Amino acid sequence: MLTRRLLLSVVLAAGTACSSITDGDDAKAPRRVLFIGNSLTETNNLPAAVKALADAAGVPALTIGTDLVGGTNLLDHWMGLAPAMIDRGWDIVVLQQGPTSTASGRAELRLMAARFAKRIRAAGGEPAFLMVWPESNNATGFPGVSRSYRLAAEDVNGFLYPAGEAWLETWRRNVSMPLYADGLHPSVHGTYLAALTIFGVTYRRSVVGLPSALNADGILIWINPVDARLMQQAVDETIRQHGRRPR
Amino acid sequence: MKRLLGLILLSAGLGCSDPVAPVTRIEYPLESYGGQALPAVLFVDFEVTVHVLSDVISLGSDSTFMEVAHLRAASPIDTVFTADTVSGTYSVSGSNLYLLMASAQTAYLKIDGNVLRQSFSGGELVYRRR
Repeated sequence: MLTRRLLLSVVLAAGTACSSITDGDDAKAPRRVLFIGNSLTETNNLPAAVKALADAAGVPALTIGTDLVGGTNLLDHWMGLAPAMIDRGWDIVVLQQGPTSTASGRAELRLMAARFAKRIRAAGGEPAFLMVWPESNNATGFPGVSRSYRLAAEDVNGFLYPAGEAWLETWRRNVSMPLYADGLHPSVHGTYLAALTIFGVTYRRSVVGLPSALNADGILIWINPVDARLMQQAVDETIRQHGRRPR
Repeated sequence: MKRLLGLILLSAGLGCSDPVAPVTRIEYPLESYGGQALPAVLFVDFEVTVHVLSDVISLGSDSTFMEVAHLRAASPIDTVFTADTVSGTYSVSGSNLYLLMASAQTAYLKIDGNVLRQSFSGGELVYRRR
């Protein structure tokens, strides 16, 4: 309990410090964000981590919705609850499935991207794609994963959150950064990187200076401040190179 | 023909080509996938079926390769056509053709006369020289 209270104090203090970040246009800032995906988003409660970053940065509070089911792809979601959830109206709908590094998986992702984007825009929102990462024993899969999600985002003029690229950029700076929790799922460091990436692209802000400790709806994400700084700088560089917003 | 191909590939692999000479390329279109003629079913996921419409491996005299595949993903309500390209370098050892992609992924095919063969768990891809 003491640790948690201390952590919340740290987050609060960091949030105050972040007010010096260049402000975006709050009138256009999203209020409602829906996450559709699987365990890669669910692990460490990535949506709540994004909300915690937004709270700390002083942008308008986010209402988060989730449709997260382990082992699913976007087609599974389409055949499930996702269409009805999308129709409730969200500013941004974040779409994510498995690594999708093969040509056949890429073709299916692009089909589903077009289908989801049409539905999301009909409900007044913008589609976004969370580029993930390949299995830990398939490092050569990174370019294929990146290409799949980039093409899906370009096809529908959506947001691209290049989290997998942020992993690579982080490893270029510190090859021992522990981003995997197992052979595929993210550690708290990996989730933190993904959250920073989503925040940075969405709000068009530098993520340097954001808190290194977050309360993700009960899951404590604590990163050594030195590592957090390195990761924030890596995310800024990644977004500069690979981030995408609707045009 | 196999000898000719081997010579071309060997000279390319050894970097014997004139650096100012134009790069010549040999193309191998995909003829069949797992015994299916094109368009062949590549992948089925519930209502979505992905077909390969065409796929061509092009080997250059400068030891580079390019593969361009055209796919169609279709369901009862929508269809998308996609093109997928990978490139890199190749080398030949005996009757084996090794492809090293820019991503550092590797693949190898068997050279069988005018044909390149690649095995996968469900069968074989057969590329025949154009």
